[in-house]
Amino acid sequence: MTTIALRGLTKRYGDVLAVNDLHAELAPGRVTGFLGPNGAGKTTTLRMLLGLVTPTAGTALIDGTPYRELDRPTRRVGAVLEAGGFHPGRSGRSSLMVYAVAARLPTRRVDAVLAQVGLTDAAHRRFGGYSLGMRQRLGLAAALLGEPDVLVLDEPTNGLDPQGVRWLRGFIRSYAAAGGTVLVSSHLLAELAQTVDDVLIINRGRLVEHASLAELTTGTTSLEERFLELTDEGARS
Amino acid sequence: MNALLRAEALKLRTLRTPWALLGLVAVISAGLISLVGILSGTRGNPSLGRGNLPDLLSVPAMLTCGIVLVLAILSSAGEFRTGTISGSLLVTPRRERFLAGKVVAAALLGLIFAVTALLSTYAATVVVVLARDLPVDLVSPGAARTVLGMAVAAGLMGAAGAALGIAVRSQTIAVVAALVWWFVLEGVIPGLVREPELAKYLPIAALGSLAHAGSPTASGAFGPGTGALLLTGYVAALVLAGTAMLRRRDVN
Repeated sequence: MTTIALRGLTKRYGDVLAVNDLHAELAPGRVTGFLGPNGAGKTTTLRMLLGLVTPTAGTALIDGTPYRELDRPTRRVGAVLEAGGFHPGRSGRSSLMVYAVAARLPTRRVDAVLAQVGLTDAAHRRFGGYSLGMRQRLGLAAALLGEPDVLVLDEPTNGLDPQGVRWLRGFIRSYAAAGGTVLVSSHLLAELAQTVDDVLIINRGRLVEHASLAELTTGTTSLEERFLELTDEGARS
Repeated sequence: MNALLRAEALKLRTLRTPWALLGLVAVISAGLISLVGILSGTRGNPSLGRGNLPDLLSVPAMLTCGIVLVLAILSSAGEFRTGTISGSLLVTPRRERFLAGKVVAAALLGLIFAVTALLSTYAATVVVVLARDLPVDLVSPGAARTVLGMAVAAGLMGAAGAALGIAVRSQTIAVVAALVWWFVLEGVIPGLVREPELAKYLPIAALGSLAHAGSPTASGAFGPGTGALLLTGYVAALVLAGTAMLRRRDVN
């Protein structure tokens, strides 16, 4: 059971404050949707959480430890950050083998995750020939290699067909039901509304809402309406 | 570190370019020696003598080192071009360890290329010597120095390429910078600063001293031991620069 904590997380690029004093705590067994307009700081936040971007101030912790200091991090956290991220000349299976070997994971996990995401038949094809949906599935397979407690997914439904989206929704729900912590960013608000328990909304780098989906969408207000309301207020202020 | 090395080796083994370049090194090495053997003693070309085995073995040395340097740059800077750097650092978030794995793997890659070039060169030498009945001894104490020097030189070039690729990130800029240094700057810098003696202290001159360790030292050049020390110093500086850049750099 792993928690994620963001404490005063801040990132400045020159004059631009990409993420501004972000505080949040994500509980195990729950799916948190991470929302915000383009350029709001979602990807920067996720990359700070994963140790790829160094915060200007504050910390992002996985069970009290920064990602960079985790022992065998792929067993704790799995991440899907972009549809690319693999060498176009390497097969899907070889790409996963590289990560499995580096992470000292049993190589049988490679075939297991390829089957889990439905890529067994395409395992020996080069990544450069994969469709966008297949690339997303391979990214998810890489995230699942270490059987982690936490999943961090940045726009995971990009390029997925309706069957793929439905499969991913079911997968995320069952993952959280088994005690996993999921943080998922997406622009597809209607889709997220069917998947998440909690919602974290940022605008211009600042946290504007962190609540359960039920609290946020009381009465007839939809997630989309509430999101636009909050981010428009942010834009005006 | 063992897992990191195995992963880096797997990265190289599962792509076509390293295999293609390894084949190229073998073919060019054999081709150059065949040419030298065929032309020996003809049309004013010097004849080969008993003690020329070390010289023959080191014929493809600089080319092999150059190819290793370029391949190591392409491999490490390619992590940024393809975006695999994110996945690599998610698995190995301690960046010094990641770079150390890349540098050591590239050094071993250099060793493999050197051994391939030497084996190909020696096989071609045996064929040419026997076919043309040349008076070259096929066993020579100087040959062992050539083998050692070339292996160390190619290993150091691999390490240098890996560090340079990580420091610069752009494959094109890193390869062009390395080639411009090799073929242009190193030749003109001593003249520009009016210090001809400076030439032997520069990295490619040091590489030449080391890679031709079995041959007589050229006039105005350092011996292979000093060349090895100098080159190690340059590579260490590149690795330190690469480490510093990778540690502070955001991976977006």
